[in-house]
Amino acid sequence: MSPPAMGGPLGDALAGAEPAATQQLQQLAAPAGDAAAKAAALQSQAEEAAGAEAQQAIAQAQAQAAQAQQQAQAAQAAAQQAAADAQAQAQQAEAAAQQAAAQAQSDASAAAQQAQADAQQAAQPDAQQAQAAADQAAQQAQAQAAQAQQDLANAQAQAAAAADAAAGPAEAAAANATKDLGNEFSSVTPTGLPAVPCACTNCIRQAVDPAIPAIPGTPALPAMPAMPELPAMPAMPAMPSF
Amino acid sequence: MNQISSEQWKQLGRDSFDARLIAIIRRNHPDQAATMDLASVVGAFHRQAAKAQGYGLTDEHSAATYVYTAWLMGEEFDTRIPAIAQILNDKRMKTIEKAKALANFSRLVFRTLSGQAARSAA
Repeated sequence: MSPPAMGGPLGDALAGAEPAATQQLQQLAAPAGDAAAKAAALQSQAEEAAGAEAQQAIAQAQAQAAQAQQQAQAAQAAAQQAAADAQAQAQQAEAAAQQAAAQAQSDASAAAQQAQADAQQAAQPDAQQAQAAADQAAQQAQAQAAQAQQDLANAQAQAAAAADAAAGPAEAAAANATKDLGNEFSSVTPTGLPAVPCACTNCIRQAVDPAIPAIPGTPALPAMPAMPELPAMPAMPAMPSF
Repeated sequence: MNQISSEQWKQLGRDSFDARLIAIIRRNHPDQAATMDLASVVGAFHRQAAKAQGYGLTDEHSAATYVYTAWLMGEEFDTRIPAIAQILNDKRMKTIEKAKALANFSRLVFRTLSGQAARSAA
């Protein structure tokens, strides 16, 4: 069986509604002292609802931003620690090399010089390795910090979208559709005119007929004065004969 | 030269109105639109557009808002909901105010039904 042509969204929403909503719906549907008062009350409630959603979105964004900030700080601290560790290792390797060199210098023989060369050669890779580790740690820390910044930006973007999502899908859809109606339908064009004017000059003339007010509520324009008759074109002179 | 009759011109206007409204519904309510019987929906649109005219909603934005509200709430929403009946039948209210009230009402109804209003109050 196909769904009803009209009223489907309300039927779906009613099926999943909480019992407590009934009383609120009755209040919403109840008339006020006069129509203008009821319209004003609806406007005020809608603005209040929009404000509550905005507050909720802001709170959510702030929480997500704080979390992302915390992650960024933790990544930064870890990076600094890794860099310090690598630096310490490099210094340690350098000290060991110097110590080996000093030991080697204390021997006055060629063997000692050889030992010095060997010690320096042995220490060099250790120092280079430690430096490379420090560089890698620093790069990782920068990448983590950049990721944390990206997470923060994502969190803010999600929070901005959360206002509608938090309001429930049906409400968000209705709100978006209302915006679309404002964009797609003119509030000055009478109902029933095509959105794209036809190229036929007759129907355009009919649409702008001054006897029919273009905007409801505005007075009809005065009739266009009759166009003066054009003077007759002078006869073409006879072509000279050759 | 080909000429478009008055009836053809009106038909163009109706088609344009229906097409734009259906596009908006499809964009914002894809699930419900997927099961929509287009012929019966278009027929209902025309009945609702005529009712909108009767309430003074003569510009296309107000009429479209009315027809969309009917699509959301059901064909007889204008008489079934006392607050809406009060607003639509008021001769002093401007067209734009009536359309705004319809949009506000729809949004608040769906907000209430989603339980969001109760959660916000708490």
